Formats: sequence, structure tokens, C-alpha cells
Amino acid sequence: MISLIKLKNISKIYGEETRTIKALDRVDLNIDEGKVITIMGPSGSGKSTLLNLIGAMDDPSSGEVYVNNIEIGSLPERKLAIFRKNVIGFVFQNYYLLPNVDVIGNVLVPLIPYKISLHDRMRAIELLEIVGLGDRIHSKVGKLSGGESQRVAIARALINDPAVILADEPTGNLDSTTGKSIVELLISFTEREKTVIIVTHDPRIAKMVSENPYGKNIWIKDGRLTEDPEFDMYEW
Amino acid sequence: MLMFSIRNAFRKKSTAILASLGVAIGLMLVFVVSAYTAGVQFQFQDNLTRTLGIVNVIEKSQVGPNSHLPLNITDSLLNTEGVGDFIIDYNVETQAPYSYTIDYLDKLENPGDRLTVAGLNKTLDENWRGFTTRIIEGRNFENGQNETIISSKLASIADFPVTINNNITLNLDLIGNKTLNLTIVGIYEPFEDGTPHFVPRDYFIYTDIQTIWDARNKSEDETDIYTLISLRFDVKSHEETTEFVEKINNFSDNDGYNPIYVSAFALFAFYEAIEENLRIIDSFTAILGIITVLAGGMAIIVGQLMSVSSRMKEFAILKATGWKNKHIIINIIQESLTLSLMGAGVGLLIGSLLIFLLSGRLSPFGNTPIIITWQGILQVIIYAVALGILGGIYPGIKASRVRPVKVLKEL
Repeated sequence: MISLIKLKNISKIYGEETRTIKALDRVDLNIDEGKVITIMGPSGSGKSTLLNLIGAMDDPSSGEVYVNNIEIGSLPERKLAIFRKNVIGFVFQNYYLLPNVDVIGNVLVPLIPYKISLHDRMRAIELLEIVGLGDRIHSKVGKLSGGESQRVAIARALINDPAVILADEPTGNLDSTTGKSIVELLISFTEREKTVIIVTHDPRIAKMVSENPYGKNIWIKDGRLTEDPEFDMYEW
Repeated sequence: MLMFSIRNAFRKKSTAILASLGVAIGLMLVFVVSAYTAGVQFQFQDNLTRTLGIVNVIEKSQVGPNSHLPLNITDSLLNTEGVGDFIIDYNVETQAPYSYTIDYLDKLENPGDRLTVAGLNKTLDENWRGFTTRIIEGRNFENGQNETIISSKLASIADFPVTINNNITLNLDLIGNKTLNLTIVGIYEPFEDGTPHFVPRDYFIYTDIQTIWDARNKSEDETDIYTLISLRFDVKSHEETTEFVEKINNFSDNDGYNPIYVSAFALFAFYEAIEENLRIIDSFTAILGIITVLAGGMAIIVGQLMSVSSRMKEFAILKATGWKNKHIIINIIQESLTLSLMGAGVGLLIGSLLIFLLSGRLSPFGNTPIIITWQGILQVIIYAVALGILGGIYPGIKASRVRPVKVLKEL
């Protein structure tokens, strides 16, 4: 397996001088291509910070982050934007769809500044079919359910065919059944050689991932990675 | 991206409409003022163009019908390289030195108007189709009979004794308290030289040269006679007229008229002062435009800042999905341009309606025309584009500086 993501001695400290919070503390992590990973931990443990560093949304206080053998910290803002466009697909807890654009328009949002081709439109339709919204491509996003909105967000994350999908609490606003289907959808992308990283504090997601042959759970507490804890709530 | 921006411009409908309305009112003002200024310019240019082309050629001559200027001088001038292609009108007066009088000044139309008695060589004037050929009432004067013909403009002035066979007494104060008693025998129609009504002018009373000499106790040996030829060319600028004047003077110098004194001069100097005033109006309009752009720009900036502030998460997401800073700035500028151009459209519509109303009977501008010009429309569009760009830059930069990780932190 090729190590797609490498974190070397990463620390992230928020605040200044006397009032500082160490969100990550000397973290080393390798994630191989095609894996599905959950980053588990309680609130404030540093899991979202870890995700943001991998997604080039934030800079580490120290250490190096490599994605696709590119050291993200060395990239200027202009190239970071290209990096995020080509390599990373984000899925957020609150979906963040644009209300004045229809479903397919939201999927195509990342491509708007780069000119949208017919091929891009065909790909957006294909992705919407994959996420189960092939019959809703021109619907207003305001009329979608939470699960449907998150599926649109997943299709949007995939429109650039990124190598890595980063999902930050993707089921946080969904009921358990819908949440399960969303996680199944995300896990299914490993079959398309995508690397999926899901930040969650829900052990049921961790269980689903651990049952996948390419799955792996990472536990984070007080900014440090720890051994797999024992989960006692593996039932949905 | 343009369609995306246009749709986004109206996300906050009330803010967008208010911003556009602010721009519309400002640009409407610019549009109406520019139309009014264009009307003033047109009226001025119309007057100026007609007057600019008037060139007086004066020849120091002799008594009798023996002008040294050939009767076909206008044709000769036209055949001279560089002299105007079109003569639209001309008239010739052949007259003794002017004699001004202060009589009847209070009855004339404008301050500065003068009553002028001039001696006319009948034969020469007739050859040039001058005033003596334009008698509309009565007859021409006879030489040596103290008879006169007066302008129909004088005839139209109330209380002026213009009836045929009336006598008028003119005191030639300016040349030494001489008195001239003349009998009115005819009324002539003056040439319309295009001079605007507010420009002071001479009202001519013509008699024969001998009569004036007699009144002044002068003779041919003591007095110069001048032949004045008024030519009117179709010109567009001062420079063109000046060139004509130079050509005419060169023509007289180089084509056998020396030592006869011939000179040409143009009448446009008076208008240069007015043109200076028009330049001030233009400057005022430009300043008004700049103030409007600044005020409208503020409306756009405030509106866009409000919009941007409420959409920070959206910009964070756009950046997270690969938008560059410049994409976000361009997007916001396009939104501002949408609002300002919509404002320009509304401003042009309301302005046109206002101009239509102001052009009617209730116009406070009197007879001054109000003219919609392509330049006026273009000016509004240029201002709108400037407004859109200026009003979008700062909010755009602010939006582009959003740090996704900060904005989305609560996730």
C-alpha cells in the first residue's frame, strides 16, 4: 500500500502566550490509499483540527503534513486552493449547500470558477445517481431532507474526483437510519480507490468502519493518538 | 461564474434593491444633468457655429462704384486652397465710416445695442445684392436728398418714428455734435446672420455717403471709405475660421491687391468667453458625477459588506472546495456590477421619463433643449461600471480573506 497521507510530529496550538490550548500534540500518522478511517474522540479532543490540517484548511504549529507526497505547509495560498480542488473533497456536518442554486448547481459549485464543461455536467448527474438523487437534479435544495442534503454535499465533494474525502461529523444532524446509509455511502467510495476519513464521536460509525476490510479506527484524546479503545455500543 | 454572481446579487433582496436604488437615483441625476448640459451645449454650438463662420472683409476703397475687390471675390476665395468649401450666405455693405448716435437707445432691445448711421454706395450695394435690394416697404434713397432707409427691426420697435415720409433727427454726438435730419423713404429687411438674440448689435440706418459728408462738413479728400463684405462659412471650430481669415488675408496680400488695404477678421471672440463658462458647467457635471460615483459606491459597499458578512460560511465552503481568493473577489465584483448596472438601467429609465416631462411645457429650463445623447448614456454606464468595481473590491477582499477553519469551527 502507498502511504497517501503522512503526518510527521504535528502539533497545533491555539491561543497566544499564557492562554494556549494544545489541540494536537506531536502526532504521527500514516494513512494508506483506499482506506476508510474514522477519527474518534470526545469534543475538543483535536479530531476536527486533525482533519483541517490534512485538508489544508489550517497550518500546523509545528511538524509536516504530506498528502500525495506534497508538503502542504510549503504551498502558497494560490496552490493550496488548487490542492483543495484536486485532492480533497470536504463533507460537513451542516452540508452548507447554497440555497439559491438547485441540486446539480450545488454539486458543480467547486467548478464554477474553472468553467463547467458538458463532461462536468454529465459527471455531476452520474454522481447524483450514485448518491441516490438521480431524480432530484433540478430540485431546490430547500426542499431536500437532511439525508438528501448530505448526499448532495457528498456528490459535491466528489465532483473533482479527489483522492481524499474528509467528512467532519457527516451524520451529526441526521437520524440513525439516514446516518447509517450516509456512512455506507462514504465507505463505498473505497471501492473507487478513494481514501475516506470520517471524524465522529459516534462509536456506531467506528464499528461499521472496523467491519470493512479497508477500515481503521483512530482514537484521539487530548491531542494525542491512542490505542483502539473498547467500544460497547456497536448496535445502531 | 457570471450567472452564479448575478443570482447571488439578489440573495438579500431588500439590501440589493436599496443599493441599486441608491445608485439609480445618483445616476439618474447625472443622466438628467448631462442631458440638460448637452442641450445647453447644442444651443450654444448652434449659435456659435452660425456666428463662428462670419468673417468680415474690409477694404479701404474709393468713392464711387470702383471697389478693388472683384465682384466674384467669393468664388475666388472658394477656389483658394484651404478656404471653406461652403458659403451659406453673404451680404455686402458699402458704406462710409459709421456714425453712432445715442438717440433712441432706450428703445432698443438689448443693453449695448447701437443705432448706427452709415453711408452706402447704392450702385455697389446693388451689384452685391446688398440692403438696397431688400426694400420691403417704400423705396430706396436718392443721393443728396437727405433720405434714408431703415431696418425692419427698427420698424418693429414701438414708439420709433418709422412711418414712411417721417423725419428723424439724429445727433451724431460721437463725431462732434453734428445733427442729421433724414426722411424715411424705405424699410429694408436685414440679413439674418445667426447672431443670438442676446448679443448686442447695430441697427443700421442707411443714407448716401454724400449726405453724411455734408452733415459732417467733410469731403472725399478727408475721409476714408470702407467696403465691408460679410461672408458666412459653414465651419465647425474657431481654428477653421481663423484659418479662413489667414487665407483671406494672404489672398489679398499675394494676389495683386497691394497697396489696397484689405483685412479680414472673425467674430468669435465673444463666444470664447461663453465657451469658458460652458467648460465650467462641464466641470461641474464631472464633479457631480464623481460625487455620485462616491455616494453610489458607498451604497454598494455598505450593501455588499452586509451581504458578505452574512455569507462568510458560504465563502468558507467555496474556499474549502477549491475557489481561489481571486475567484471570490471577482464573484463579489460581478455581484456589485450586477447591482450597479441594474441601478444604471433604472436610473436611465426614470431619467428618460423625467427628461420627457422636463421637455414639455412645464419645463423650468425655458426653451433650452434637453437632449439625450449616446455620450450621456455611455457616461452613466461607465459610472455604473466604476461603481460596481469600486463598490465590490473592498467587500470582495474581505470575503476572500475568510479563513474556512475559523468560520466553520463550530462544526
